[in-house]
Amino acid sequence: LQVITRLRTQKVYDAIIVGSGASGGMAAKELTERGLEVLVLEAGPPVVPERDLNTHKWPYDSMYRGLGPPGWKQREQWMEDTAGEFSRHFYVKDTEHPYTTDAGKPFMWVRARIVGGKTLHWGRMSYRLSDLDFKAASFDGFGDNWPISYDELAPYYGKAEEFIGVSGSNDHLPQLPDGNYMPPMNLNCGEYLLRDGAKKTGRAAIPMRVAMLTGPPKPWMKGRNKCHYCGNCGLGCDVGAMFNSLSSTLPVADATGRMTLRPNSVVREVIVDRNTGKARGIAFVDRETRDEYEAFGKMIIVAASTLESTRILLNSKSRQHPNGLGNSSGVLGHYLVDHWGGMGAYGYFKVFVGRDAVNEDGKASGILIPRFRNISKETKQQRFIRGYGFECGTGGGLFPGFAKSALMTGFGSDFKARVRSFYTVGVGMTARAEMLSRFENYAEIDPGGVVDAWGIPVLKIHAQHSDNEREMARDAGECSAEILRAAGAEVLQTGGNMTVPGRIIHELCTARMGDDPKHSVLNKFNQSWDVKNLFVTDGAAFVSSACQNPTLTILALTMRACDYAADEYKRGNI
Amino acid sequence: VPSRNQGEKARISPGPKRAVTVHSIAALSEGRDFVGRFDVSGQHYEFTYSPVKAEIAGNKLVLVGKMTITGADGKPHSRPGIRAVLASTQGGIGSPPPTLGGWRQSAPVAIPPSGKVGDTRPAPAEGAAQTPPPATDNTGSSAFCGVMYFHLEGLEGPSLGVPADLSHTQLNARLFPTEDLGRKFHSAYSLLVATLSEGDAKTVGELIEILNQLMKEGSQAFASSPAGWSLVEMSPPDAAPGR
Repeated sequence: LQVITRLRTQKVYDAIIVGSGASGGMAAKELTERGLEVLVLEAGPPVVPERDLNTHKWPYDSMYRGLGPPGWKQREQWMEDTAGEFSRHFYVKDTEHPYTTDAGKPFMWVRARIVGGKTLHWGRMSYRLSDLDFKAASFDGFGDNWPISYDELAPYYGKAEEFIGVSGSNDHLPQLPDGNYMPPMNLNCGEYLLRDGAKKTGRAAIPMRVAMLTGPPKPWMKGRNKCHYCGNCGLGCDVGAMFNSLSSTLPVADATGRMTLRPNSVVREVIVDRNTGKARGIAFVDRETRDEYEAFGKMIIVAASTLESTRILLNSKSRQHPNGLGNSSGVLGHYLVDHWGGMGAYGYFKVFVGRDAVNEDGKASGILIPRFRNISKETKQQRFIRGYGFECGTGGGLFPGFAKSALMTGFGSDFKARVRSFYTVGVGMTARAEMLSRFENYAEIDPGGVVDAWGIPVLKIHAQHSDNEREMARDAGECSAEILRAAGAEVLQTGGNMTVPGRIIHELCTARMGDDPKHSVLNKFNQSWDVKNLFVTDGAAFVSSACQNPTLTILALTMRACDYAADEYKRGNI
Repeated sequence: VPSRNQGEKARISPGPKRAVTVHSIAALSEGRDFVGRFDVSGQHYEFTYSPVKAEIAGNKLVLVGKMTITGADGKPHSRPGIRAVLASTQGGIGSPPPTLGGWRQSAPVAIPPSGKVGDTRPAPAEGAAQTPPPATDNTGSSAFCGVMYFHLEGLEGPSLGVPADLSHTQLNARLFPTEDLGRKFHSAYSLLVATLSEGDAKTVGELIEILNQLMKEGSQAFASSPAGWSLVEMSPPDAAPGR
């Protein structure tokens, strides 16, 4: 064992927040606005906008058609199309940040260690869960209900939507509750056809609800601007039209004068008071200098992303918490899920060949076909429980995907003419589906003793799809082709493979909340059952994933947790 | 975009300076070798680990070979007999290598009971479709080993020209070969890792022999397939639409 001598300091913060992404940024805003002095520790470097955000790079600035040097993903980090030539610096390299799996059971753990975290390049889709999700176990008997209902979270959903700015429409679907929206983005021609095709098959199709400003910024959105449809949201959005921590929550926290943000702080463990068993600080190492530090706080908010938070807690072993901090239940790390995708269909609308683009260029959203399976007696399935939706898009973006692929080769004016000819014809839909939250899928500290570049033990991840996911995937493949054909598209491919767990970057549920301390890590306010001054506010707190994108729920849960934590802190209960 | 306060460090003093420890070094496979670079106190070092022998000890793969480290002065320092003990692995993602004899199909996972009373799952309907349900990328027949993590034994920083503690250094060996010999090694390592987890001692022994022959003969080995094995070019997993 290495003995680390830590220098003790006088400063004790009201709260230390680990992570500056969606949850960490929101926690910083919420707590500083309530008068608490916080220290935010971020493992990655700070962002220099003019250097790091490449939102307005043009395709001709790319040496590699936006894909990056050949082989770099396999050499450094498997991220498929998540990262590209102009965004690769947002992501960690697996070579420095290892994790392990069993042979033949891969997991794609995509991580963004940088101030702002994954909000710098997230998909922006912002959907509420409903009681069909919060109380799913009551509907189908599998797993556990959440300890909260939709009504308890709804006010926080509303506040989150209002603060971050979400464009969308109220569609009156019970499985996808409405919210406080800016105007939806207009559909393009292909999306209208697809919406009609979905309708013919009895399914709804709605404009995606995305965290992008389609109206004038509200007074609290200082420095943010209305979306100007450049279409490069994944490269950081240097105008602040899409929500991210960098442009939205962290500036508000900073303006209070009560936030200190320390980048390059790789957390080793939560420090525990030997007498009380309560959390009293964070031990971390400087990413660049490798110097070891300690920081102290009266309350610890772990918001480092689902699996990283889990790793920190599992690595925080002590006499009082021999199985990891807050793990008296033994379920910390278990019930891991990720949404899955990959299944779907794509094709083209022949009628659009040679047509000029209208609003396809730069529209960085599409339509959603919300869950339509197992939402009522009439839609109950015999072969699987829970459900999935389809994320759908038509037409090309600023740099259309097909022009980067083997489907379209060549160069020069002929190449450009052919790209233009097919620019608006493409149509694709891919499932976003629930993976059942099962105890058997879990993360643990690697038993082989593997460490990262800073000597911190890494996770070994065990995650496999079950029969339920496979049967749902079969259904998704069939339904997607049916909808495309009903829309009048020529179908080029249906089916496919399910994505590797982790690929959708919606890993959740490893420090689940619940009503029973014996079967959950957190109570319904994201507070550790075992350690009163410890909160976990990211996706780890989920009980199940539903099939909606999770970030909005993470933000709402964080706001609710901070509301509770600040009150308890002021009452002297923490 | 605001950037205030982002560079500000908390007023916390660091703990006392400790000797520099290199916790891990990352390498890519090239033929039989693992080649990479690392930094110590701002100085760059390039290294090559060349295994010459593979064996099994305690159900773990152990490689024995020479470590060569070259610093900024361009002078190489080598030490033979460095043991690399396989500590853990990472399943590969992307295109699988050609495999020796094909990958063993892992059994599909049925939903197990979660151990809680009341958990149910729907029973398959009568007359259910007989076609197999979709697979998950890089599992089953398209699974392979992507990274092997070794604990290196016998490394001494000063004797290799590195002013750092290398006594507990880990080798992160990423398998992304771009030439034929490397692909053969990749296949053999992938199969061996899978077989070790299955506890098939006989096949493990055969694969160790194959690895040793590859190490000894290099690209000349297995111009034809080893006895009992056939080199099969695997198809990459189906492209998933709409991603």
